[in-house]
Amino acid sequence: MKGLIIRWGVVTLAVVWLLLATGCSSGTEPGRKKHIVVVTKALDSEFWLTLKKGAEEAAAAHPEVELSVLAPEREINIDQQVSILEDQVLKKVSAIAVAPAGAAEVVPVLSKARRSGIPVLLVDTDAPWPDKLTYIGTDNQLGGRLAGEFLVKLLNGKGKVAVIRGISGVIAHADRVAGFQEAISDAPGMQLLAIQPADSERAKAMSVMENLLTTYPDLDAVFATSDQMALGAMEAIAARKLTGKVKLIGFDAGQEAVRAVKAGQMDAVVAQHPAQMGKLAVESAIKVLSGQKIEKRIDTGTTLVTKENADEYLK
Amino acid sequence: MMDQRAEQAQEPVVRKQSVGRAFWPSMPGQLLRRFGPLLGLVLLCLVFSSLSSFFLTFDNLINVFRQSAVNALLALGQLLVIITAGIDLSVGSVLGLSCVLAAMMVKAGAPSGLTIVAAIAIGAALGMVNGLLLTRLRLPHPFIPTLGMMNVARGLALVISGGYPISELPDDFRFLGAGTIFYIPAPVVLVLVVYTLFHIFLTRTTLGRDIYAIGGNQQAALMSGIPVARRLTTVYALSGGLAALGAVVLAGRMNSGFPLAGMGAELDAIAAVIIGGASFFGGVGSVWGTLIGALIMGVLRNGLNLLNVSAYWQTVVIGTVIVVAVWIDVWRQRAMKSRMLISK
Amino acid sequence: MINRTEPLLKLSGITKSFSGVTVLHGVDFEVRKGEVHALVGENGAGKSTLMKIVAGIHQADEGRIFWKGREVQIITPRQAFELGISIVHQELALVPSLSVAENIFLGRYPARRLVFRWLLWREMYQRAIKLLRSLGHDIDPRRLVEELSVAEQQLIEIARALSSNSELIIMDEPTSPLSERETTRLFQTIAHLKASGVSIIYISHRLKEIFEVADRVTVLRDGHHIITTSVAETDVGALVRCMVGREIRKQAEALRAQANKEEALRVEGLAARGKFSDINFTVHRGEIVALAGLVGAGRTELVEALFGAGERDAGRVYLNGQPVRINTPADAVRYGMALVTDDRKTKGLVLGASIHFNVALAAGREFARYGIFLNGKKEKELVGQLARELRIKMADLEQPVVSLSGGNQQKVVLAKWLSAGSTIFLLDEPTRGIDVGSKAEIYQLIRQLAERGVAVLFVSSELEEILHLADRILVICRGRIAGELRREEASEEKIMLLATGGGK
Repeated sequence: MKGLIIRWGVVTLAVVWLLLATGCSSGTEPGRKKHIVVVTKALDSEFWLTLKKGAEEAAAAHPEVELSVLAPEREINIDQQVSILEDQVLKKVSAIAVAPAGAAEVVPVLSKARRSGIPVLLVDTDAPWPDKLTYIGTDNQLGGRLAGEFLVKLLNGKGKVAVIRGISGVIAHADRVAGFQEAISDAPGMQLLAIQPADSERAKAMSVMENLLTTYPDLDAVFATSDQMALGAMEAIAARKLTGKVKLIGFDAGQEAVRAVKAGQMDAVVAQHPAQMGKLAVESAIKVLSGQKIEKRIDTGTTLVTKENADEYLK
Repeated sequence: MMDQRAEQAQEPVVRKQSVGRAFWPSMPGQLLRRFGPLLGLVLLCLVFSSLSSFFLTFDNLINVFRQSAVNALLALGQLLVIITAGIDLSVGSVLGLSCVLAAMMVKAGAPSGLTIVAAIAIGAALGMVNGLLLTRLRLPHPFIPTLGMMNVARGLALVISGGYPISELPDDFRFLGAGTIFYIPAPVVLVLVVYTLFHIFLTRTTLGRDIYAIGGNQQAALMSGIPVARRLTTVYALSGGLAALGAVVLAGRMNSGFPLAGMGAELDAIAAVIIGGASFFGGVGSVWGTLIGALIMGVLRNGLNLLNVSAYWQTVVIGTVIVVAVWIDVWRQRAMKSRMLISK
Repeated sequence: MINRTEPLLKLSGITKSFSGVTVLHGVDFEVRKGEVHALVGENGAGKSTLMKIVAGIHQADEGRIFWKGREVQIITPRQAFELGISIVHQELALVPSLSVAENIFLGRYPARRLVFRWLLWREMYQRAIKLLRSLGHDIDPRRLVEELSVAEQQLIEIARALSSNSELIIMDEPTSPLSERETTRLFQTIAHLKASGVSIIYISHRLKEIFEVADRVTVLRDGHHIITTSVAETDVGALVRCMVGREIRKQAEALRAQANKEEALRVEGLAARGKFSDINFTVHRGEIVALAGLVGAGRTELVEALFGAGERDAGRVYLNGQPVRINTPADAVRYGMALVTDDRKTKGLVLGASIHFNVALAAGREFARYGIFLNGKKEKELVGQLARELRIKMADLEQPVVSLSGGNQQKVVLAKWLSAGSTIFLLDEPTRGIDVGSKAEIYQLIRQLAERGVAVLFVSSELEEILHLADRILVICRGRIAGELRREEASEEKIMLLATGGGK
């Protein structure tokens, strides 16, 4: 059994080495710079990239700050976001601004961050967590209301509408729908026919829209709770040659959507201000780190982009 | 006079099995298979510890292990399936469905212990359906029934939950995912216990040996009187059950049963098994190799996170590692083959 | 135009060996234009190898090939094809999901070049119809090949050969999958071909057919050319004598002690559609019974069906007088049956695994603790003991079986069943691909098994082996038992006669 001895010898040596190295290296953090980490839900869309850019611009004005923007591969990889947060907590970074991919799922790790003394700010998506320093983001309900009121005006207070919404369970989408419903129910002539999910996917939204047009041939307008879904719905409407007849409103105001508004293929899009979110996240974090107080709720504002003001939003 | 026919018979692909083995392998190729993944893990740790001072801390290593726990459980089930020369694409979705059902049960007031047992039973039942579809309906390849189950289970998870996560679970239910036992996270202890049990199962029981035999040569196993259909069904049921156990851990860790849990997890599990030295052709693979495979993936993600490398680059790195691991395996096989030809 | 008696193909002094074993010894062979030339011999006489050399699948070690009087080298199947030589294989090489016409012109579609090569469908169908008509058949060229009968598929292969202007078509056992009516039809087709000047090499085990269809016949035995003669000048008996080579055989072994008359295995009315039918026989304890017959007669299918591994439509099986239901090999093993498969590499062994692993494959459960946990020590003892008894040449028990010789691999398979304590052994070609020395050892082992009271049923294509080992011989012809011979009355001629359907 010579082999056995050698084998375990190798394993033991490795373990000893690891333990020694552990003892030597723990707690040697070079802490001159303030390290702020922004964790988004993903970095695969214009929205998140704009937010990242806003954060980077803000950080550039503060040389004492080192900024990292991290994200899981896709928005649905909640557990990956949790892992990223755990690793940052372990590094004892100075502050974390996070857009929770799952409101409930990230709370345990955020509490852990809080316990190890790291200030946590929420960006873009709110979470039911009392220890957050602030929530910086769009008032989604207000945005939804904005879209609803515009539609009521557009249809002169009378018409049949439908909603295409994002993944069930995401608060932002729920808020947008709620705001929209408020505005619609304020106008007695308006009728909400259906609310259907399309998981924020363009292709899914297209087939959902096709089905809506088939089921409700007298549909007057549609509100999609994200740009990608609005663009998918737009294709379906165009395919039936109903562009302009069926009104369409999106949410986010990415470049593609704004161009569609300008071209008259979409009637309006609710603009969020991701760059503002990124900027305010970094600036608020810096304030917290220098001992200043910040608001519990920081609104980054919503505006309605229509054909008239579309040019201002085009880059 | 028969030599002529023997000559014409196609020489079947030759693979060395890791079954019934001597402790110290005699050929360098075998050495590489046995210790290659471990060597890779150690090297990786060395590299990361030199790049980040946070890497080699007790907290972080425990962190890595905890982050790898769910993948390790899925990979263990996947290992059993891959040893039989199969594949189980449904584990991610089975995890999602079990996650939702367990969370709903425990929220409805069921005792935590019962819920955990029920969740595992549900996962095992779903896996068993895979196995029965494969062996009774004689679907041509495990790819088909498990691809079907992957979609069915995910769909059911979304339908049953309405798409909403079910959060704020009781603490005793969360224990397997979020608790600690003497400073060691419960999921780490759980993984070590389950892995030890399956190591014994695979190397010391007749069932384990049947599984290797089926993967090594299904026809020969059948002709030797091994009830191949029943064994395969068992293997898929175990894979489903382990996925459900992964669901319990994940739900505990995240304090939520969410229907999209485990999306794409089947591919991570397959990757861990392959990096851990198992062969897609079946008959080869070990429990500890798979654990190391899962840890290699965990260390890669953790180390790259610590270095603030974007998740997209992480995928590139992991993809490369998979290909390199398999390439080393192929290279090793070729070396062994040429060796055998020389000795003839 | 070449003279009718001028050889189209002439082989001279063809010698070929595989890994040291010579399978063709300086064989001469010729085919004339427009001739049907039959090639006969026992299994393994070298017919297939010779034809594979003609078709460019193998190359001769020595010897010359002449085509239309000119010496040629045929290195690849493609070269043979371009010369005008086609093979209609036993296993048809068609694409089932394509149409008849597409199969006929596979890879050589009529096409017009216009940036791409555009298929000329209409021309393809018309040419296919014409070809099939010239063979005396009307098959819609648009039909899919998978919808056709075996006989029709064979015809498609022949049409494919003709479409490429083949002048020599080799038919390897063309009638073995055909019914009698289809066979008659095929002979008509062959007559058509002959009339249009195509030569045919016709390989068959069915000697009677040769007298219907062939002009001349060549007999090979153990890789030697024995005789070439016009069929008019010979008869079935003479051919059989040439194939077997010995007019009288001396009985090699003294008769073994009379077998125990206790019934071990009885089969009644066993049948599987298209494979075998109406099979009845009994094997007693301590008896060795041979299942003789030509390759493809249904022997392997029969043995595998008995073991629960093959199809079976009807029939009853009794073990020790009790009726049993055997649906899977696992059932068979539980009843104490053992099957040594014809192909140990694909069906008998886990090649990459160790000797130990393979021996314990069938019996591990027997000495596992609580039937679950392996008892490594006990297992190793037994495996080691068996390996010594069977004299398996090996470095140690953990050596992978792939590195063993054929004879030693077969011993591992036998050890597997010995360790399982089986009482009924089914052996399918137990000495295939095994050297002479190991063969003797395996014969010895089989005899020892019988002496211990085990019932043995074995399939073999080697007549010598059958006569050497068997107490009783069942001869199968086209899926039916054509006759039963006791050891005392058996001879190679009698077996061959029954096996080739010439017995009745």
